[in-house]
Amino acid sequence: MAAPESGDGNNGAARMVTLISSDNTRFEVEAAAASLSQTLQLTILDGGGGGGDGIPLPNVDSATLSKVLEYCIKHAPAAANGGAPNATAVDRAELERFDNEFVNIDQSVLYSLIMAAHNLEIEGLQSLVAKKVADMIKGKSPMEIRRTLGFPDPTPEEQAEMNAHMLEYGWAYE
Amino acid sequence: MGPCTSGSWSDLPIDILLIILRRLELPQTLVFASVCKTWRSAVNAAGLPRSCTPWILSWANHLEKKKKNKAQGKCNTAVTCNSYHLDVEDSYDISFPRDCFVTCCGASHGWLVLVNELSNLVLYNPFTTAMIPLPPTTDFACVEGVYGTHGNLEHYRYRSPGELYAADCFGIPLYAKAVLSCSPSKRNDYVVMVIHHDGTWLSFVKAGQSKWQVASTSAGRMGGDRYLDCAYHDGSFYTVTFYGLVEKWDLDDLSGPTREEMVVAIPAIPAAPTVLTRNMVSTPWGDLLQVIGFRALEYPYATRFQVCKVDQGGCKKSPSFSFKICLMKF
Repeated sequence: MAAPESGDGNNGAARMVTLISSDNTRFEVEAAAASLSQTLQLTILDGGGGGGDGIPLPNVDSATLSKVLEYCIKHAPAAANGGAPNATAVDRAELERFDNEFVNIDQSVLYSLIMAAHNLEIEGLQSLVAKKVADMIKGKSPMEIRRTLGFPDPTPEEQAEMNAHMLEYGWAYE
Repeated sequence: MGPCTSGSWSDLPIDILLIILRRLELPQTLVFASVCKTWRSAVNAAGLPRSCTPWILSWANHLEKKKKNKAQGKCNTAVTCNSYHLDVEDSYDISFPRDCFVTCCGASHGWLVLVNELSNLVLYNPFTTAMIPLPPTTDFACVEGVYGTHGNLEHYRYRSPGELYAADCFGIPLYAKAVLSCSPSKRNDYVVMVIHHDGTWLSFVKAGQSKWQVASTSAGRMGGDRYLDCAYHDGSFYTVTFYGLVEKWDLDDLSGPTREEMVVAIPAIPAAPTVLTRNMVSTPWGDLLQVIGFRALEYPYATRFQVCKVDQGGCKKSPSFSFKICLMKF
């Protein structure tokens, strides 16, 4: 199913693909970076996304997509090295610094990012955001977590359920 | 630009919630489950056990890691243990604060009784990470601390023989079993009972007290007997010795702790099967049981267990019922 000539094309200038966000913004990006997405990789291997066609992504808006691509472009070289066993400590430290800064953003952006990473099957991004969310949860009470992540105020019914659950595991809350 | 409706966190696909859950330890998992219905269902799908069923704590990995760290000259960081649950196959990581875990010698009401790196006992709740230090080991009459030039505790010794033991290892053989009367999270009148010194000593400390009180330094009247287990049942501590003496303890008497003999000791008869273990179990339905492990002569490498009910009301009769279970050890 893969087009053999697309593999050979890597020898010359990097192959570019076009991605189209839900609000019709076009992003041109190297195929290697877009291929961090398992979903896009299949399409790209089939020769899609080149020229004027573009790959429509109806579930991802342009703000989120540009953030996703920022991650992919930064991580593409390491991913091309097959997990980078021969990457230097400096490279790895730089990626770690980038990752930490990358997720230092508002919870609503984090939400869009993790949804996009899930839809596009970008494993690294998904676990990066999951880790950030887990860190945000740690040491907080259920109500503090709701506030941190912008949940609406609980309905009386929800509040009763929360209370019942907290009562059952009362020893975990002190 | 995009529609980022806040509150959508409650509609996260379960796959994502499971990925986040994998990064949380047990107390946070419980909190996570309280946040909303979707999150709770993710925790249930991941298999959070109900609080009323038992847990198994193992720290085999911890010992390996500690050895490795020592070999690499690394100093100790927080320890991670695995806790297993009988109903599900998942294991959960529990981290202990630095220097506070060498071994665990008891678990009651969701609290663990840990031996820390100075061989002192601490109560630790792995769900809340709350910690309560107990009076130090040097409080026992026969134990002396030996300090280094900088005033730090380096060794212990028993006064009479004078042999030195490293401060971090001393507690491992010292403490056999510790039991809590109730959860310190719920009541502030808890009591900790400890079997120590090879089962020859029984001591206790009440909440807020700064000294251990000795309940007994001899297990029964028979020479060579020792305490094997202790349980808290229906308002009292019960102990069992190797020869089968079961005692009920009253720790509130003003003249000091008093004991009542519930089951008399029987010295070992050469023809009788060899007793390997004895345990006291307080059941949720209100019985106090003694579980006796014998060497099973009919099978190689097997232990036969006998479960006897201990009668209440000072009855000194032999077990009112018993049944046998055969367990093969592999």
